[in-house]
Amino acid sequence: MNHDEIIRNRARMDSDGRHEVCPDGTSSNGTSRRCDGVLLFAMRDRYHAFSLDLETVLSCLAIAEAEGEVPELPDAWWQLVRNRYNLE
Amino acid sequence: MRFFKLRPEDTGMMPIDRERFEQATRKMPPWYQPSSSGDELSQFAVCPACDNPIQIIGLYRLPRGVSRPYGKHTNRSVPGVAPLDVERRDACPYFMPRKPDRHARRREFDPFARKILKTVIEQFDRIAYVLEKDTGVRLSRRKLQEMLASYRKMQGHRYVGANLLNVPWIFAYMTKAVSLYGQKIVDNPELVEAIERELPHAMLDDQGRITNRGSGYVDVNASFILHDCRPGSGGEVVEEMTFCVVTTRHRRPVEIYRKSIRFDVERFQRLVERPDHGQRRPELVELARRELGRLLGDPP
Repeated sequence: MNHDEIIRNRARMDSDGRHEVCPDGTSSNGTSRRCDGVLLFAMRDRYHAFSLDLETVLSCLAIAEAEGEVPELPDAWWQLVRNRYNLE
Repeated sequence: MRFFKLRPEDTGMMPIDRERFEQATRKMPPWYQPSSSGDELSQFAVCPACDNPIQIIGLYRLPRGVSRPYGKHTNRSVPGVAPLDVERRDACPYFMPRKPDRHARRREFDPFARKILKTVIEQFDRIAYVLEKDTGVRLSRRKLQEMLASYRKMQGHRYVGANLLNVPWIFAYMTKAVSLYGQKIVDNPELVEAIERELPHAMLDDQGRITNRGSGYVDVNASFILHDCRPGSGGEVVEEMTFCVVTTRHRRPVEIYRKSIRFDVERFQRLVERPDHGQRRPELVELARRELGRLLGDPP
């Protein structure tokens, strides 16, 4: 896929998407839980359905915060989140 | 020391009693040697915790006040049995049970630290099993991976309190606090009760996993602290640490549960020596190799 196509092929949340991620994972509209309890978001782009885990969303949020795109979140909040989701 | 092995490179251990010792050595040198004075015959072997030479005391004649034979660390190398490493002997709980210096580290490529690391990798499924039995909590593969990475960053194998017998517990001790959210409590009713009492937003799902009730955030973490060694009654060595479960309130860690874990080194050795390969979990050994192999110089 070339650069323009990658940019145009934006993924969105898929509120009808369900993912049976593992035998004991759970699923409800738009979100699922990985078997270790971590939230998964159902996504869809032009070509397929896929999932995004909360760790990835939080890592994106950390970048957005560092770039000044969202207001700073409290350090104590990040500490709890980093520990639970083992973010670097 | 109540156990011995014949050579430093051996794994496992045997209890010190006359029958086992005679069977294992067939009374051959170098395990039977004249004492330094030359008047008596002494028996020697290797400490299974620290690989140093030990002299077996009381195998044929119990000294006064001693109820059964034991191994005593020697002050010299014993030719043919093992060389003496003073630093390692002084840190061995079976030489002198005392609180290890938390800050002291073995050298980066210390061969003994490397041997411990190899044991962590090769026995990682057994380590996970022992920790599950001791805590009553089953950690997911991902959580175990997180602990392995934390152990690597703390260089846990170089901790002076680590030896070849306390491997599972020192593995856990040399990691940072890990979140227990989503982890399964398999056998610990007191912990379940503490969670239900102290964490109003937490509940256990039908699989026994810690999850949240409604939209409340649950902060729940496990941490292994306070590694300690001391002499117990009857010449035993008591080695233990504390498993605690912690939440955060007003930015401070608050303990909601604690349990003292006494290291049952014999149980771990029995697992290591068990031949039933069907019950092994090679995928966990592979995981450990991926996370820790680079410390051995193996390709990732």
